Amino acid sequence: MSSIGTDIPLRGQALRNATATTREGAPAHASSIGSAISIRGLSRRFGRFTAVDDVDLQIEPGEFITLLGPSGSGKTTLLGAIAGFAEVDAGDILVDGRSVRGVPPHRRGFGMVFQYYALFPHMTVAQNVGFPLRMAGLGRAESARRIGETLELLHLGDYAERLPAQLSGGQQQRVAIARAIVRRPPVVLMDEPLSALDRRLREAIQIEIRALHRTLGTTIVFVTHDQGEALALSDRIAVLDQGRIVQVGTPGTLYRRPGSEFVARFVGESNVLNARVMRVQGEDVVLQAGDEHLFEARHAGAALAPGQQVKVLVRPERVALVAPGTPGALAATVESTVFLGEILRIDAVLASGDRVQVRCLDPRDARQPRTGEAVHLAWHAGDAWVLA
Amino acid sequence: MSAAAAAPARPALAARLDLRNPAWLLAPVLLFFAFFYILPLVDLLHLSVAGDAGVSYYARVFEVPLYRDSLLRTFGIAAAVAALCALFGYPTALLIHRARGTWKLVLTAAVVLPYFISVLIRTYSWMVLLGRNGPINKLLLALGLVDAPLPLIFNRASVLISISAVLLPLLVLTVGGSLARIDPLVQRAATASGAGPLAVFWRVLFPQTLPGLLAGVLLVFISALGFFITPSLLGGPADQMFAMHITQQADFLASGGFLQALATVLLAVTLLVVALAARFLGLEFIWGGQRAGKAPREAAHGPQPSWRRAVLERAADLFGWPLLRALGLVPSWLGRLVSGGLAAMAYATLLLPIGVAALISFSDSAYMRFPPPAYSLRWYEKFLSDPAWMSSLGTSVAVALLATAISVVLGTAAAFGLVRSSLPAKSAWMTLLVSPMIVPGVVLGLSLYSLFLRADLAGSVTGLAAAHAIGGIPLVLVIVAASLQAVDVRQEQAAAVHGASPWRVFRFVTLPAIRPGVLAASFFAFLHSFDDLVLSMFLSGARMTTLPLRLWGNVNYKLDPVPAVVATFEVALIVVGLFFARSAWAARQRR
Repeated sequence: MSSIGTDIPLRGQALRNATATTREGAPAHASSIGSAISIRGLSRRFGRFTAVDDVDLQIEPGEFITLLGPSGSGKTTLLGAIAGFAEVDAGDILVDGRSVRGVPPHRRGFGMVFQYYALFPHMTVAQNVGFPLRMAGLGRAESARRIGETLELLHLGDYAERLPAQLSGGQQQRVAIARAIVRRPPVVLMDEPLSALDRRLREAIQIEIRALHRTLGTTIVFVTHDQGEALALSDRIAVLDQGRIVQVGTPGTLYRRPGSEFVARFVGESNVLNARVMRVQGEDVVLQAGDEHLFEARHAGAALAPGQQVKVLVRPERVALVAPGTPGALAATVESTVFLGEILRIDAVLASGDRVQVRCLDPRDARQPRTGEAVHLAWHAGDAWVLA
Repeated sequence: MSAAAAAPARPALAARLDLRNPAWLLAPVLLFFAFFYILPLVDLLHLSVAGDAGVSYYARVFEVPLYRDSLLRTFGIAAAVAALCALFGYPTALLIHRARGTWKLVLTAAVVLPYFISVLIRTYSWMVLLGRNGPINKLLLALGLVDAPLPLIFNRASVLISISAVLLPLLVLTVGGSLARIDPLVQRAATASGAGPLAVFWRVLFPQTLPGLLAGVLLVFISALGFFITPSLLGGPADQMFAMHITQQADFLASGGFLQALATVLLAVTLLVVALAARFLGLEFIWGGQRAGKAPREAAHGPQPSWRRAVLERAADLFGWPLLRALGLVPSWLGRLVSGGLAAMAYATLLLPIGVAALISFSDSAYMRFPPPAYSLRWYEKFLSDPAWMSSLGTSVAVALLATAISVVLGTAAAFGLVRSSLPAKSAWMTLLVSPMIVPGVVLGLSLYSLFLRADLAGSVTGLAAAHAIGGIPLVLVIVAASLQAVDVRQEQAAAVHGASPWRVFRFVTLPAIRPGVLAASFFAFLHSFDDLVLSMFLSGARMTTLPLRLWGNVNYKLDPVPAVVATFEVALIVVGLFFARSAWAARQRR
């Protein structure tokens, strides 16, 4: 990457960490300029509807954190509160230990990317990207230099004099990102920035955002309802439901060890089976599905009593078709088989009535199971997770 | 059903015409305009140079100081009015834009309501408000600020204030339209980029509304050029505007082609302004549309020479940006206070006259005393029991209904012909069809005058309704074309695929979608005719007196509270109309 770490302290960035401002010439590392954000007991109500309900969240400097949730879960309101657009009824937000209560959005010194770009239609690409610099009081020559750098970083060098209306959606989104990062802000907020793009473009820009984050080292708070996007981008993900954070963790933790059925179903494809506890041995538990089938699973250590009904998560790609008689295998009947290119998706129903989805690499030679056929399914004990 | 049985067969010829390319729907309106609009204007030009006159009439217009001075004066008044409207109207539009919910509705209605009340009635209200015994003088006397009533009326200030107040809604609605088109997130993006409230306004909001503001200012300017009712009633001898010469001399038929020359000059001046404006805004500004195609500034810095650009940039660096940043420290409440204050004054000029007129209508006094010494319904009784007033009301309603019918039928057909056909140069056709909006009423009236004499249409309900429809058709066309463009063609295709004939597609899909627009357009076309004074003055002959004509006589010769009664009735009519239009309006706002 080019030397974009050449940074000069900007006026109007009251919240910038004073020790991390001037880094002449040195290549940027993560943890260099990002701010820590601490959200404490934050609540926001609209009439009787509680959009954000007593949220606590600690965001580390330079972290890429995603607020993930269905629409109406409060993630956009939470982001708006960090940006300073949303009023707050209770609680506080601290940036590098200092409260931002009462600091208007234009004095917080953050960068922000909006869902539908929100470019200034009457300004050229260069003017759009230069806007935050001019607002911060940078001179024309210095602005021009930094605009040029940032445009290069986003492969927009040839479009500086175009108007937004003359760009494609992907280009417009990159201009919006350039505008958000041009000041090298300690925090960049992104509100569903990729939802207006098609899948291929989305994936391409995901990779760019990821690389930018590594290069710049800013803290990024990213809002999305797309769990795949969250898994691909984030250091950590905070899952929101009805205004509350239900789980915070790395993508791997959320995927393999979700704390609730909601998280399990929201993040990734999932099979949630009903079972009864037979025996508990430390983290291992032996479960019974239906009348006879026994299988092992792991659990988080919550008190489980024999005879208790529990829900068990098994990811579809962890389920295998096995020969009859394999220990721990469950008998099932195939409902449908769908060819998805690189993988084969089989939907089957267990004797207990629970549905199980199987995703396996397309078996090149093997015969595909037909609808109505009896099959046997099995998984490793470590891949079955008891949901609290 | 037989229709279903016939479906596989070749569709009827009419049906194919209907759907593929309905440009032929423009034919009726073009015929109508050719006879009632183009032909009379050509005739007007012809008369102005007819016989052995040559250009002598024109020479007189520019040589006689009376006319030359009033032309210059008219320009000055129109420019001042446009500036006043911009100063007070822009903050008003901003206030409406930022308001939410019911408050927004109320603020909008308070602008729209006066817009639809006739110019004559609003001018009458100003006469009451500013009069010797009017509330302002009474208040000043009561406060002991003056010893004798001030001459607030019959001077330049009263002309400027009242014309501005009459035209203010035009600017507010035009600017409001361009504000509504701005993506609200763009303002957020500016704030997130570190711009304070003032910088957001000056660098982001204002530049985007500049075309709208310019269009509004020009529409106000063009409208003010042709004004004569307000300056006739509120101006002194030194406030003669150009159009007044045409109406005053129309009483004397012996002027030959001179009046036509005056009218041609007024028309030419108006068209010149429009042409100049169109260079920057495109002709679309006339009907509140946007220039299609090319971006407003293709090459952002292209045509400027480099030294000029350097000087401008230097100036911006030295003064502009530091000033903007310094002003950013001004607390935002101060900005809100100033713009709110201007908007409040705008609302005062819009609503105060109406309120005063409503109060006067319940007066017990025969004089325009304020506050009324006692309240009664005697003027309502007088209005409702006087056969002359009632027959005028009947005539006006009959003319307005017929004019509405003509406007809606021809205007809707034209909207279909324009929106749904593959006609080339649609913008040019649209410009032709909405051009009556910018032709001054006195010019239109005078041009029709000789046609009506020859065709024996003067004083007939049909003739006057046709004349009113010239201005009604553009209103209908603009509104219905907008509704039609909002209809999703795929819905029509879906209906057709599932077996609906072209007629049924129209009946069950298209018509319900555009019905609110058509209803609103009918209401506007009705008011356009019902409020008209200018055309009626030229075309009603001796036999017929419309309500505005009778009001005109009343206001000119004896100022009594009967016009206030009419004003109150009209306000009530429009409030009811707006109430019914509310759902349609709300639906349009949500889009």
